[in-house]
Amino acid sequence: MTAEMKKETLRRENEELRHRLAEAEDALLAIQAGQVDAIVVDGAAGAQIFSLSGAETVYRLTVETMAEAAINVAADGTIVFCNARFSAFVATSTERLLGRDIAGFVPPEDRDAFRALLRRCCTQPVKQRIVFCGPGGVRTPVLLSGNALSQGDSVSLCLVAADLTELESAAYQIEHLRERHVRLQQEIVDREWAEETLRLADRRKSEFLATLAHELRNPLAPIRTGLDLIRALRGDAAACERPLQIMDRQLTHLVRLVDDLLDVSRISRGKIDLRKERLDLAEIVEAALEISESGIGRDDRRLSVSLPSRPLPVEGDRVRLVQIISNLLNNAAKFTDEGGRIELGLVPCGERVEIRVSDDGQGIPRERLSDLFEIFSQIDTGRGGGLGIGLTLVRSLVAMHGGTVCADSEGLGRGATFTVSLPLCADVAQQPMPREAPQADPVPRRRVLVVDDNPDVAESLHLLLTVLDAEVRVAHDGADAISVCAEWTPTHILMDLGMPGMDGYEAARRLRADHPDGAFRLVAISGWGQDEHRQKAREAGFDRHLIKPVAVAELKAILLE
Amino acid sequence: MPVRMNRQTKELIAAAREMQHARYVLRLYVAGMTPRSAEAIRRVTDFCEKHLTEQYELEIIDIYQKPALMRGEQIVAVPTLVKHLPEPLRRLIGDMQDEDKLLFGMDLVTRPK
Repeated sequence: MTAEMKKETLRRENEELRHRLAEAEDALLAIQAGQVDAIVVDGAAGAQIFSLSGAETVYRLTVETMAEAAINVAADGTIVFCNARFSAFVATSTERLLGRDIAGFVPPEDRDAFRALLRRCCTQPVKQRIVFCGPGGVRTPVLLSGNALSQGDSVSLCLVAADLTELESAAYQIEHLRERHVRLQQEIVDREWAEETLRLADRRKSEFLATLAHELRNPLAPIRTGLDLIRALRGDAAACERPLQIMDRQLTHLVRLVDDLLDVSRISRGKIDLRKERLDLAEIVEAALEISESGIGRDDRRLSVSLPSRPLPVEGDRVRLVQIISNLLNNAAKFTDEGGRIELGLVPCGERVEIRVSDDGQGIPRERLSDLFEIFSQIDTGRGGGLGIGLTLVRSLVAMHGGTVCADSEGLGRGATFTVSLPLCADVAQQPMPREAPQADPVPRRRVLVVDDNPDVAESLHLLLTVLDAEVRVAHDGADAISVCAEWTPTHILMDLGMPGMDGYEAARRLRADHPDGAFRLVAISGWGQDEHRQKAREAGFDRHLIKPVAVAELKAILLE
Repeated sequence: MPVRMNRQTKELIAAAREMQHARYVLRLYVAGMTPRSAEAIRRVTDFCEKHLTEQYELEIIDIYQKPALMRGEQIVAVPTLVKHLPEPLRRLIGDMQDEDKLLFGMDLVTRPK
């Protein structure tokens, strides 16, 4: 090989090496410049291709994995492409979606509007809530965004739909919670109001209890004093007369207080039954005047009564109607000063009659007229005493008779008028008022068994009956009474109901059973006077039912039977 | 550096040698129908039509579809254009946008020093 040839060979090799170097450099530069789609690595297992995530791959992955449905439709609505999400929205596999009309996947009633939306989308971007539906009643509310894609001279629509199901469910929940919140707030207001009402009622009750203690002590004081006085007088009958009168009056007052209390309690529990009959209201007024407190009797010149000449028939409970009028009279007397006037009038008004009780006394502040009849409400607890339940009783009893009561006053110091309005009825069945047995009537000789577990009650009745010329035996419980009757035949048995051991009901049943032809009168004497007790006593065999304390007149009437 | 060729490449070269007009035997390797692939194909085709009119044989190979055809070609990245004939074998990597590089790579002009 010549030197010239050697040189040429070296030159060529040199050029080839340079070329290969340049090629390697170019390869590296191309890779660095991102001009390649994939790198190929030769390994033992053959060539491996590492794709450099070409743009198309990225887009496809993005579209397939996004949370929204992506659909490409032709301008006529034919589905050209859709992702898996849309397939899920309409519960239809992708193979069954391509080439179909997308309007077939909105509810029939929405189709026209949907087609209009697609038409609009060809010229401008749209965004609207629609509902996609599929087989089996599948419904998916979505927010649909649409843009037109120009490809040459054809237009397709790119639609993206975001699922609104959760959002709308959340909105529903929020609305639901808001409604609940409003209801709760209302309930809070209601409860606060109820609480306030209860607080007020509680305060009134406390005031009432304080007043009650005071009012009960008032009549007890003169009774206590009277007893001490009688003991000191040692049988001086003439000197005893005055304290006895006082004690009698105070006891009557005490009994009335307790009766009122029981009545209020019964009315508030709905336990009062009216024994209704047809009555002339004028008779009721007479009776009320008779029992009203001393100081406002008929002859008292402070009181004027005007009654119409014709009868005013009403249907009602005699005792309760009397109670209404006497309560109003007592109320007027309480708030009228010495020398004041009280007027009682009956005024027919069409098919009703008004009972008006007016006075020229203390009057009522205008702001108190509304709650005057509320229980335990008293304008001035220092005035005239009382429990503040008289007017409450009046209102309840009047209402039970289908009537109304209202109070009116020109203000403090200007008197007051109470008006009760009752419905009149067609005619009146004349019934004589029951008269108390005159005290002078002779009492035939009786044999009386007194049964009471309270020794004082038994003892005092024993003494009183002895004074009334009866032969008396005493038993202290039911069993005791039965054994007494086994050897002794009473004409009357006066028996308590609530006793330890055998009570009055059981004893009455046994006595009736032991003496089926027994001629004795069986009389219950009890602190329990409600209708249910009366009923139970009647069923046990009692002939009569008296409420403690029993007045001597009542005892005489019983002995005369 | 000897080039290890697979059987199909040998056959291709043999066939080309028989066809007198086919002086240039080229293979373009691409990976899928990406925009870059499409661009590279278009560029190479244009280049061949312009500079090698009726003197070339061009094969386009998708390495995803025919990975076996890569064997022995020392392809490190795609797109890659391989000139099998005339020798020497040359490889050009990239998107084929640079016409000068194609001219150098195909030995049609001398690479500037």
